[in-house]
Amino acid sequence: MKKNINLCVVGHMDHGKSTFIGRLLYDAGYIKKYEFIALQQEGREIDFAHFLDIYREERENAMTMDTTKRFFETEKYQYTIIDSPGHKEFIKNMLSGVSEAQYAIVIVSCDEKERIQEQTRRHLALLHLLGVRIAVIAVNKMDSVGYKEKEFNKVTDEMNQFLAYIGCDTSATAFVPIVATRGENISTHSEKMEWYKGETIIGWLDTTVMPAPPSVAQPLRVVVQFTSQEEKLVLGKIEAGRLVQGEEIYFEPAHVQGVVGEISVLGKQVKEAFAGEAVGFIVKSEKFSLLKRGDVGGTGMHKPKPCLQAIGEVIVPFDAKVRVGDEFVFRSGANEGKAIIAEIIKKISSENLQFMENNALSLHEGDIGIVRLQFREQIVVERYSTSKELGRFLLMKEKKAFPGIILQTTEMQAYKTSLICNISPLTMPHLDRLVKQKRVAMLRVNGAFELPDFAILRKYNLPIVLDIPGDRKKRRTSMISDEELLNIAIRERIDFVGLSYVRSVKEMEDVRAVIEKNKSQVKVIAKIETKEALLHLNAITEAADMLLIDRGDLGTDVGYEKVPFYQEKIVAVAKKFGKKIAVATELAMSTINTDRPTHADTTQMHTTVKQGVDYLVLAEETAKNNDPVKSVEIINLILDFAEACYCLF
Amino acid sequence: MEGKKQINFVEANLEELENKSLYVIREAAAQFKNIGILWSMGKDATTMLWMIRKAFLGKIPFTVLHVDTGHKFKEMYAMRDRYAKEWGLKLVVEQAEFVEDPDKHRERCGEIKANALRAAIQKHKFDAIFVGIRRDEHVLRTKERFFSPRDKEFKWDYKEQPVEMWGLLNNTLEEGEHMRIHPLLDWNELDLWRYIKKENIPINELYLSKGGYRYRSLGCVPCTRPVPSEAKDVDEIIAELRTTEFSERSGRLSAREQTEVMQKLRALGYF
Repeated sequence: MKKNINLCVVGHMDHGKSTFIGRLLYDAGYIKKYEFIALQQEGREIDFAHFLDIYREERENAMTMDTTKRFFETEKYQYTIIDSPGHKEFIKNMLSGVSEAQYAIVIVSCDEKERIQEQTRRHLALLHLLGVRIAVIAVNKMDSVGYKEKEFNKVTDEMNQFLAYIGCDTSATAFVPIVATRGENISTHSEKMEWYKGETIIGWLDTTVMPAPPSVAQPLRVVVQFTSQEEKLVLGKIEAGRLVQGEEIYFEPAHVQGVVGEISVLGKQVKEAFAGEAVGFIVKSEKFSLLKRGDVGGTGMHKPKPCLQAIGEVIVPFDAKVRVGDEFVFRSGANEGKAIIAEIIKKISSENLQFMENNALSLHEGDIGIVRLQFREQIVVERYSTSKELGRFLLMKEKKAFPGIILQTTEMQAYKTSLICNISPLTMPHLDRLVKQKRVAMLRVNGAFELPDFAILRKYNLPIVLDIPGDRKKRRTSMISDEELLNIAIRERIDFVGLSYVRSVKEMEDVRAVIEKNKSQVKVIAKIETKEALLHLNAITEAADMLLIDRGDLGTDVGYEKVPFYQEKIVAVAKKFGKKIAVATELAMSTINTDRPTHADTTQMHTTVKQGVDYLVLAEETAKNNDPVKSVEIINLILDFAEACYCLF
Repeated sequence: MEGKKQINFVEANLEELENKSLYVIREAAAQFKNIGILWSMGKDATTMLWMIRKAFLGKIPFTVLHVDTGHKFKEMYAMRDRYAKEWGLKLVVEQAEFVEDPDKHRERCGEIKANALRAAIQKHKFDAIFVGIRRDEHVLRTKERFFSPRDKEFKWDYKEQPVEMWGLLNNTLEEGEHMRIHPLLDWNELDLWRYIKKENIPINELYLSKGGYRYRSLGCVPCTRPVPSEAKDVDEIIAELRTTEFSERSGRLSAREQTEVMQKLRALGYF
C-alpha cells in the first residue's frame, strides 16, 4: 500500500484555491461521476471551486468555511488534501486543517490586482510556526498576465524575500506557474509557458515530499487515557517510541514505577507496541492505584519529567483577548490541567512574525505570544523541538481554544509561598489528607495546649514547629514550663522552636545556649509581637533563624491600625538579613465553613505574596476547622493566582 | 470525464484508522460522564460498537440506545435482539412517534427521529452520544468534528465549531448542550467494508444482493430503497465499491436527505 501524505492547501480567498483543488482532483481522476455531473451547470464552463464549497453560504460568498478533506493517488503516494479557508476570519478553521498536514501548497495569484497580501503573509507565517513544510508555491492565474515569465519572477522574488525574512527554509520549495481553471502545469505541462522548465505540481510533489519518519526511534512516551484498578490495566496511546513487555516503566507526574505486563493492540496480544498505536497493557506496580489519566510513561533511561512551568508560543486566532493572569484549561495529549498565563514575555505579529512588544499585558486577534505558563498541578510536557506529540497544546476557555507549542520547560520549585499549619486534636483525623496538599510545608504545635504524640507527626516527614508560649496567659491549658518545652523540643528532635514575646537579643542567646549545650539542631524562630522587638528588630533578626510576625499580639501592643505598616517593614528587614519570614494570625479565617472567602482575606493573601512572605501560618484555619483541607484548597487557589500574577520565578 | 480514470476511494491503512478511532473513543469515555451509543444496527453503527468493545478490551461501558420508529426492517430488529444478548449490551429502546402511513412517515422521518433522540437524551441525561457518521457519506458531513457540540435544539453551528487540532479534542459544553462523538469520521465506505471483512463483523443480510438488488445504506423501510447490485458477500461489495458510480446514500428517500446536491442530481435525471 502506498504511504499517505497529508497536504494542506492555503491561500488568499480570491486566489483560486478551491478551483485549484477541484482541478487537481479532476486531473488525477478523483472526482466521482455524480459529483462531476452536479458541477456541470446548464451550458456553463465547469466551475471546480463549487465542488468543494458545499454550503450555500460558501458558494454565494465564494469562500471556504471550514476544513474539507479529499484524496488522490499518484504513482508514488496517496495524498490527503486538506482544504482550509482563506478568509482572515477563518484562521481558526485554517488551523484545524493545517495542524494535520506535513506539507503545504500555497496558492498566490499572479493577477496584478491580487498578488501577495496580508493573508498570504499570515498563512506563510503560521505554516512556518506550526512546522508545516511548504512543498509548492503555485503562482496562479498566469493567463491574467499573458503567461509572462517576468511577472512570475516578480511574484517569486517577493515571496522569497518574505520567506527569508521570517526565517523559512525554502530549499525544497518549488514555484510553479499555473492556471488552475485550465489545469496548466498541474498534472501536464503548459504549452503557453515553455520558458518554465520545472516540474508540474504533481511531478514536483512526487519527487520532493517524504512520509513522516515514524517516531518509533524516539524514547517511549505512552499517555494514560484510562486505568482499570481491578485488572491493573492502562489504556492509552503511544505517542513515541516502543512499549516492550517485561521492561520497567516510569510514570510521571504520578511517580509510579512498574513493569509492563501483557500488551494488547487492536484486540491482539503482542510483545511490543509502537508509536501511534492505541494500546492496553498491564502495569505491575504496588502503587498502581496512584496512576491516573494524563500520566506519561517512559523508560528508566528517558524518564518523563514533570514540570510546573513552561514557556510556550501561543496563537490567538480569533476575536479574543488573552491577558496576563488569565486561567485556561490546558490540554496536551491526554493531559488536562489548569494553566495561568503568568507573563507575556514577547508579543509577535502573526502577519510577518515581527516583534511587537516586550512584557505585554495582553494578546489580541492575530497576535502570537511567547508566554510563561504556570500549571496548577505538575504535568508532563516536552519541548516541541524534541517531542511533537507532548510539545503542542491547546489553551481552552469556554469554546475557544488557543493552540501553541512548548519552547522550554522549567523544573524549578513551583511556588514561593508555603503554609505552616497549626495542629490540634481536631486536625488529627484530617492530617493524612492535609499533608498531601500543595504548599503544606510545616506542622506547628502550640506549647500552651496539650502536646500531641510527636511520633505520629514525625511520620509525615514535614518539619515541626513547637511554639513556646512565654508570657502567654490567655486560654492556656498546659502548664508545662517554657524550659521544659525547650527540653522536649530537643529530646523529640523537633525542627523549630518559636519564641513568643521576644523583646531582646538576650532571650534568643539564652535559648541558643541551651540548644548548643545539648548539641541539638533545633532552630529558633523569633516571634515578633512586641514594641520592644520592633526597637531591636535588626539584632533579633540577625540572631534568629527565621521570623514570625504574630499580628494578633503585635496589634494589641502597638495598635491594630499599625499592623499592616509594621508587617511590610518587618518583611523588608527579614529579606535584608536573608532570613525566612512567616506571617501569622487571621490570614484566611473566612475560608472556614464557606466556599467563598472575604475580599479582605483574599486581598491580604495577595499582599503577602507581593511582599515576598515565605510562609503563611494557618492557626484556626487548620486547628479549629472541621474541614481544614478545604480551607487549604481555597488558600492554594488564591496563592496560585497571586504568584502567577506577581512572581516571576 | 472522457479519458479520465475514475476512482472513488483511496484505500487507507486500516490499522492507522482503527488506532485513531480507538483513541477518540477512549478520550470521549474519559471526558464525559454519561455517554450513550446510538445504534441503528446499520453497518456503521455496528462497526462503531465493535470498536468500542475493542477499545475497552471486550466490554461496552456505555448505554446502547436504539431509537425505534416502528418502521425498521424485521432483519434489523432480529439483529438488535441477537447481539444485545450475545454482547451483553446495556440496551435501551426508545419508541419514536409512530406514523402508520409510510408516505407520511417518510416526509417526517428526520424530524420524528430527532424528536425521539432529543427526548432520550433528556430522559437518560446523556452528556455525549456516539454516532457512527463518516465524512465521505454525505457532503454535509465533510466538515464535521470528532467532538461536535449540539445545542438544545440539536442545531449544529458549523460556522463556529471548536478548534480541533493535533488530536486534542475540545470537550467544552454549554448549558443544555450535548456532544456528538464521531469515532468513524475519517473512514470511507470502502475502508469500512474492508474492515468488516478483516474483523468478520456481523452485518445485516439486507446489505447483500438478493434478486439483483441490495441495500447500501439502511434507514426505515419506507425511507430506503435497494440499489441494483450483484454483490452477494462482503468481498463482492468491496469489489463493487471500487467501481461504483452511485453515491452511498442514493437509496435514501427521506426529506432530510434531499439536500441541494441530491435535488440537483435528480433534476439531472441521474437516478
